[in-house]
Amino acid sequence: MLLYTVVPIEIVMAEDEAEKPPIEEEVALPGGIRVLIRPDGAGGGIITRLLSTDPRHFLDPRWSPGSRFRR
Amino acid sequence: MMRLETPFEEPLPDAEPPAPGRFNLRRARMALRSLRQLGQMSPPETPVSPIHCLTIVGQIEGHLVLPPKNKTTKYEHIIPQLVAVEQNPHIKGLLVILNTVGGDVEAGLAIAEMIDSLSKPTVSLVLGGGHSIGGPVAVAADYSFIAETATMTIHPLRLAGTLIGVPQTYEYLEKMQDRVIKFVTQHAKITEEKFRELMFRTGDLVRDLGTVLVGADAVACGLIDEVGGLSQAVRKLEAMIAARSSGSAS
Repeated sequence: MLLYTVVPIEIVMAEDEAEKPPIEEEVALPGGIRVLIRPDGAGGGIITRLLSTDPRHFLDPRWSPGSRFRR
Repeated sequence: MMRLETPFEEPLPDAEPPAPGRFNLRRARMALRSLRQLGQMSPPETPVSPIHCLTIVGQIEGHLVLPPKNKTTKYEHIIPQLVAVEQNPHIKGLLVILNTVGGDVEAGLAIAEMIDSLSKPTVSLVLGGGHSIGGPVAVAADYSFIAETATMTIHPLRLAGTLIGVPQTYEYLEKMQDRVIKFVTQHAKITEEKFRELMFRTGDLVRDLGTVLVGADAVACGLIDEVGGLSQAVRKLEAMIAARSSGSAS
């Protein structure tokens, strides 16, 4: 692997054991929408990122980051 | 007497498919609930957008999963989206928004090649930064914009870690670098001599060889087509879509 970035390699590769960020899970929703969620352990979670190229999806409050997601 | 009921106890089926027929009822119910509870109108029903938007932020992540502190754009997310844009007949053009610090060479070049080979009009807009491997991605679009305050850093490729065979390593690095230089000079107006000069310039960067181009500088050297923002980028894309549809109709 070859990195070509302005960020120094020691910063890119720095692993901070003290604060592990929460695990994110990718979920495919019907209608071609994919979201990243932060699982709450009960099958759902909080949406953290919307993976879509359709600008309309970003106007829908159901998929906006911070919304609760239930299966 | 009419009594308004607040359906607090009725949860909305968030993850259900937007089945035709049911979708409108559900949407209407949701709008009503949001109006009652929060006094807020839900966003208006928008028409299908012929322009799709691809955002590339943070590190472009490729073969290696980067430590979780990095904000990354993963190429396994981007590539299928580009395939969908190519295949969907309702999508007429693609706007690529970049604010990236660079990343994996092969992932960056893969995305750049995908954008370049897309049959639909593409416009890129560099906001904030389009550094290192962000350069090839920006110039891969049919037309490129850079915000006045955005910057692009051009610098040589570096290898981290232990070097075993120095001449071989140098040759390998040179080969990888040529891939980037070739792609950029084939897709932008900048000449190879000028790009190499910017890449190996001394005295501009503290930690490295190279150059930082701010907004208009990137246009002056021929790397980017025009200084502009969102409205210019969308206008340009709409004009390209219109030109293409009138061209195919005649």
